[in-house]
Amino acid sequence: MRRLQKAGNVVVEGIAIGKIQLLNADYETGMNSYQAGGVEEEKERYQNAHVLAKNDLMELLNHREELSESEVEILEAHQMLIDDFSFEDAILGYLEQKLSAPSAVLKAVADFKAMFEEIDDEYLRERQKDIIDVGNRILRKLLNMKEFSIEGEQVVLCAKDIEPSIMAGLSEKQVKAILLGSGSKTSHTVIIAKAKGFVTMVGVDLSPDEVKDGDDVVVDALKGIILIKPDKKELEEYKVLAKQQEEEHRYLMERAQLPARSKDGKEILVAANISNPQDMEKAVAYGCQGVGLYRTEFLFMESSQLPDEERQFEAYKSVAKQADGNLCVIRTLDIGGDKHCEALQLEQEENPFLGFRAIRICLQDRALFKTQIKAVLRAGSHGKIGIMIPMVTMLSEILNTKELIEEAKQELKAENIPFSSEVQVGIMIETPASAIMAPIFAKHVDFFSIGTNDLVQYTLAVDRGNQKVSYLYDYFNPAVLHSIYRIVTSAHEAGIWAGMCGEMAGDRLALPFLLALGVDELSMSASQAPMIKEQIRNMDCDSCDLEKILQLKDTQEVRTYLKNLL
Amino acid sequence: MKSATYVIKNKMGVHARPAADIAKLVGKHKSDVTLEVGSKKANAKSVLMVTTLGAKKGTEVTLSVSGEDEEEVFAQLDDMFQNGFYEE
Repeated sequence: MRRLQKAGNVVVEGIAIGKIQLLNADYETGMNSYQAGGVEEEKERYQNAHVLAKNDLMELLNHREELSESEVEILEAHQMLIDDFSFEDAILGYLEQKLSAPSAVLKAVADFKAMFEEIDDEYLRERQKDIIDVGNRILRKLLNMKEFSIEGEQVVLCAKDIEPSIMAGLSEKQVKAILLGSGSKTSHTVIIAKAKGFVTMVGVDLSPDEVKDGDDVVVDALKGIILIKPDKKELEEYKVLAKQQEEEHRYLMERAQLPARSKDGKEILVAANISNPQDMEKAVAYGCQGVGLYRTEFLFMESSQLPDEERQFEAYKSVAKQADGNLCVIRTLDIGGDKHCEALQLEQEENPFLGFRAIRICLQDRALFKTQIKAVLRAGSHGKIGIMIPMVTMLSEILNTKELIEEAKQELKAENIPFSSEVQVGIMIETPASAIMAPIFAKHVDFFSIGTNDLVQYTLAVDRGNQKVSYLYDYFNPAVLHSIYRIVTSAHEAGIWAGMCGEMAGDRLALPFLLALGVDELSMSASQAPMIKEQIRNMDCDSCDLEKILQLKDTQEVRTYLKNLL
Repeated sequence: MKSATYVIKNKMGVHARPAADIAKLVGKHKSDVTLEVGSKKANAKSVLMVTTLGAKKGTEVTLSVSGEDEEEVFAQLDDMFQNGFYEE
């Protein structure tokens, strides 16, 4: 048998090594060999199966200390559904029509499924899975099918879809990963997989012809690949990787909620970079203290229509609330460059990174900008909010935006709509112009956040997508360090806070330099936060000699110097 | 009989949890309770019927309560609908 590689969409990151177990409940064979009796006999069989299925649910809920909140909620919903009189009436009706018990259950489920199908709301429509799940539970009892059980340990479970209640019964000790054929990232099954922390991928196209129970498999849910029957060398490499990761992850997660206070007592705020409100759950679990960068453009890119004020407000409010009193920095629309937006119909440009993007678009389309500003201000009455302007190169951009914010406030006030007048206004420093002008800009804003990704690209005049020059792209280039030094010191001289939200903020090698500078906040993708926080707790702020590092001549010298400090 | 029409306020609409809350309340009382969305009608004792109404945010739902304890049942359901089932 040969090695096979497949791809999937990652839902829960991680690496898992194990053996395949396919989950294809075979109802068909049972249905075909079912010997139906008379009406009364079928009714009795149904009643018995109903009781057995109900007992199973009760049994699962008896061990609720092993279940998460969402699992309990789903199982309780199933308990109500299995006793729902309209479901029972439908089944009994079909039994009266002389259908066999299994057929009656399937028909009743199909009727309700059809009703769910008509609903024009994805979330509500998706709930048909619960009634299918309950129906199958009764069916298994009728057909004398064994309840699904996991055999052995290190199981990588593969299925087209898994019923939520089966998911709820899975033990973390046995199951390492879940591979689902269906593509939904919001199904109950996926919610449970997340809660249990199973490495999970969806949209995985594996047919029973290609894999069988017991096949060795490596799930790399960092890269989004699955290796079936990996070769020996590969397997060994992944084993080492998986073990390291598991131990490290466990240790870091235990400590994730501790503050990032250095050995010499300075606390640095570690916040999350997010793209939508759903990211907050993970951000909170991983110990992020609020949001340092909310990329709002995804709201604008997901549909061919622009999101209205209400829709934006709901999203921003949700983030503000989940941040639970910590500051959430909402970056205003940063479209253009490499980010396309169907709803705005921007023209193709020869130099998109130097063209019509971000604040340049917003200040031209003031109605669009004001709508977003209003939504942000309104979210301010549900939490602590900051508004951040991207791609600033001139003071006038700051002043014009502040004017617009004032206008928005006046309008909200006149309409009697609640909002916060305490919203901080800051800028993202990501152009050489804003770095050079930092001392002047600092007098007009409440904070700076350094966006290293673009700052490096613009400062070093290097397109990071271009293979031929990408070796030049490095935030440890002394030119970038000098720029960051200027930005942070200018902020502090003006009495405002300075944070960082680019890739560099999540790189532990950069920490000695950033701590020595006195950066107030670091914002990164949630999964990096526990590691960065731990690193901060293990270092002193003055381990890096600023005078010395700023004298270094090239990137290599900087890297070597920093490596010696860790 | 008491009845009123509401616009669903909470983000997720009348999903499993609110439907279960409604069914539990109605199950404990004597009144007959129905919910209507357009031409669809549901007995509020059935979670399944209530969820298949597909009442998402912004949907108009008409509540009718009739029976000896209708005052009490209506007051409690009215509170749930008025407050978006105490969800976001």
